Amino acid sequence: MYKVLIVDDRLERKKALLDEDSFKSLKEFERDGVIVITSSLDDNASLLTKERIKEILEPYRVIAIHRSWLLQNNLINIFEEFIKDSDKFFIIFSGGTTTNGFSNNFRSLSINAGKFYTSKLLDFISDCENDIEPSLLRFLYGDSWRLPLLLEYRHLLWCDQGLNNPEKEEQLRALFMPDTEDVSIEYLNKQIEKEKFSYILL
Amino acid sequence: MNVLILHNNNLPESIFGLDQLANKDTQLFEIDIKPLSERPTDRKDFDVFVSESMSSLELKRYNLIVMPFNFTETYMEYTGLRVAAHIRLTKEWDAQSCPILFLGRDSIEEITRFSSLGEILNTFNIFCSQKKDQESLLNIFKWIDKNSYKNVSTESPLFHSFLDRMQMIPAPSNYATHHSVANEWAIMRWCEIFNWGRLGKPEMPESDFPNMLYFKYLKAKAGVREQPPKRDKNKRNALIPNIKGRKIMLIDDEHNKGWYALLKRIIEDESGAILIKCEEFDKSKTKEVLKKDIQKFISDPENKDIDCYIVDLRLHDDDFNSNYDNTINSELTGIQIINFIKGLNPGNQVVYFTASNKIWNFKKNDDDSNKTLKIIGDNFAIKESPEQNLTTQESYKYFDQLVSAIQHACKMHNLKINYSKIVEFKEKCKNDEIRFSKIDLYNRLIALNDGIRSGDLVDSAALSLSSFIESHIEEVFELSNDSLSKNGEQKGYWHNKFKFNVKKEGKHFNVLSMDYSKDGLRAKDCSPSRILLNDGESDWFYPNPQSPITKIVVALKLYYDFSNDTINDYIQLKSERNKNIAHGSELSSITVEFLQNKIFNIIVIGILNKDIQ
Repeated sequence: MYKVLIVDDRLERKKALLDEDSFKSLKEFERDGVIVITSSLDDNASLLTKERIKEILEPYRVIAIHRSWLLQNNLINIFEEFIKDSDKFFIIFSGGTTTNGFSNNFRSLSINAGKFYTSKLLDFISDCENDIEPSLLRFLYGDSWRLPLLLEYRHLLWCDQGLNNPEKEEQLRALFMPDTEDVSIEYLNKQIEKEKFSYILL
Repeated sequence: MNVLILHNNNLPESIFGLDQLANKDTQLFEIDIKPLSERPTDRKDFDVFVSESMSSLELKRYNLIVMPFNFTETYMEYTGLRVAAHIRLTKEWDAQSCPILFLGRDSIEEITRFSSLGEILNTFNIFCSQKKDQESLLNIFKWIDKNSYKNVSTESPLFHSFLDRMQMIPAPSNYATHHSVANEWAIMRWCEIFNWGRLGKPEMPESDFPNMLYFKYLKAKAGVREQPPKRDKNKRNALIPNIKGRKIMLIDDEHNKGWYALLKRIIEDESGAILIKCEEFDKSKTKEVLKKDIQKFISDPENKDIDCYIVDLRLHDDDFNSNYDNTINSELTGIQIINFIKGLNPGNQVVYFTASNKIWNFKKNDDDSNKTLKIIGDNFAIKESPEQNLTTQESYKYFDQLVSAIQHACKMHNLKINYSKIVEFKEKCKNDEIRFSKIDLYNRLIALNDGIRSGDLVDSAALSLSSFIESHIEEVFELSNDSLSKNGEQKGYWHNKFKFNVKKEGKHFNVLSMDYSKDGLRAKDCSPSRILLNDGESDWFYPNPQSPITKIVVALKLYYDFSNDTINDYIQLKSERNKNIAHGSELSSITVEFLQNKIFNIIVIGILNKDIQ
């Protein structure tokens, strides 16, 4: 089981954003110990060091934190350092985030709070409970998680740029595992065509 | 033509060499946009980044803007569409009709499927191409220059059609409730519509809201109705008259979003009153803890003598449940706080100032079925919300509602003193429920915003007050032919010191006024008998000791030491009441102000003050 930590300084937020069934499921996951929900990492959060953060977050594979908590406790820079060196998965959610964004090779996600507290969160936690390696791409896009990668790859091929980054190209290929070495725009078009009908715009 | 190319190093190389081929009539400018850092904790929101970084680009000098469909790592965010929407909706950039060309392999069908902003591709002066060779691109530029719409104004049908398609722009989730959007919107509107004079606009806390695409969309939609646009010289002052020196408390969880700063400017700087704010709104508190902390703040001795409380109904996240906008009920934190304020003293004045768009229905239905809410007589004002799409004049009306509510509350601020005295007096006369029910009735009536202006309720208030005065004096005092006693103890001699001006009306003799001389009146000052009066005539007579009004007047003078003018006010009230009872005529000279200022504040309070000692 991969444990998930949610740090949200406004505990009523999830109740407002989740429907009743999803909220109940979340509470059940909490009871079962898959997730821990807290309003703060520490009573004196603003005094936390990188080492202490590492200790506290050790048990968790996925850490989701509301951005305002980081701001209020002046922990933005320390967390940024911690994330860079960590192999964990991070979700920074905020009501003021208008566009979602990945970084750190898809291990970090910045997301709107309304998109965080959805039924997709329950599916994600369920995967963690069942020892499925977390995927933030899957968290955001569900079964259509390959789609943004296919679209990006296609665009870059169209630009004649490739990826200008063999490592990234390798990662992208590995992520969507093409069944052919010949990744052309036409091939990508076919894959996109397959994927797009399962995508649901929320 | 001037062509601006926006990119994140994600356009074909061919486009960057175009200026070699372009003729002298085509200038190419290129800007590399890198909106997101690699640090997820630190990244600026994309809307904020766009608003801030593109303000300096002077977009109005370009005839065409070229960009990819997306600038960021997360392809399906289609942030290029977002940039295009910003260009259309940011009035200050003055590039609303500039043609925009998207370059990319994506089809329009894909984009409209994957992004809610895809609809922008179906609006005026938006073009897409999958071409990347230089010759084709130059031809496209020329074609666009020739065939695009020029100088599309925000009043044109093309722009309105664009706005209609943009209603898919979602609000950020912390503005998913009507409350938050309306709060930020109302603050922004009021900052803009008033003439702030030499002090300038109030300084607002930093907010990302004005930079957000959703907000720009709301503003553009509102602008559609604002014809002609408002001009500075037509702006109003943000003054609330007649509240100078009053002390007002603001209880609003969004006080730090700008409401305190804005209202402070209006209430303190413009209007001369004092505004204090409750700051107990730590969002991590539970509803019960929040409520207790607010109550503690209200009860703090440093916060006594508040003339008016301005309260928002929804003060805690819990108030935004699935029933939001459907009910206004006693579970709302704001309602519970108001009940607490009223529980401290029913005379405390409260103004509901809320973003809830159901408050007017609530006010209309404020009848017996809502008695549990105990808010009789209070004042309402609504914070305008963007979907109302108000013009400036209409916004002023919302402000006028607040002005009227605060003015009325401040005008009634003495009611809390009245209630305190009544409670004190009631304690002393514990068993006298009948007498105190009359005072309670008066105060409930006097506090009603609307009802008191109708003749019926003024009539009831007048009856209540005169009944109180008469029954109190009747029970407590005895009048003989020459002296006044209270509870058996002589309080003064009145014989030959008073005279009444009496008029005969039909079979009745009505006392119109009195006069008093402490040294005694001479015989010639009074006529011998009322019987000699003809109908309609009046004359001065010694009071009849058997007449109830005599005891009242004598007690008011000799014991309570009211002035002649004050006693004549009571006589006027009595006379009007008699006419009303006898003939059903209107209380022509009785007004709310007369009842409050002359009868209640002087006579009733004077009686209570004397008898409480």
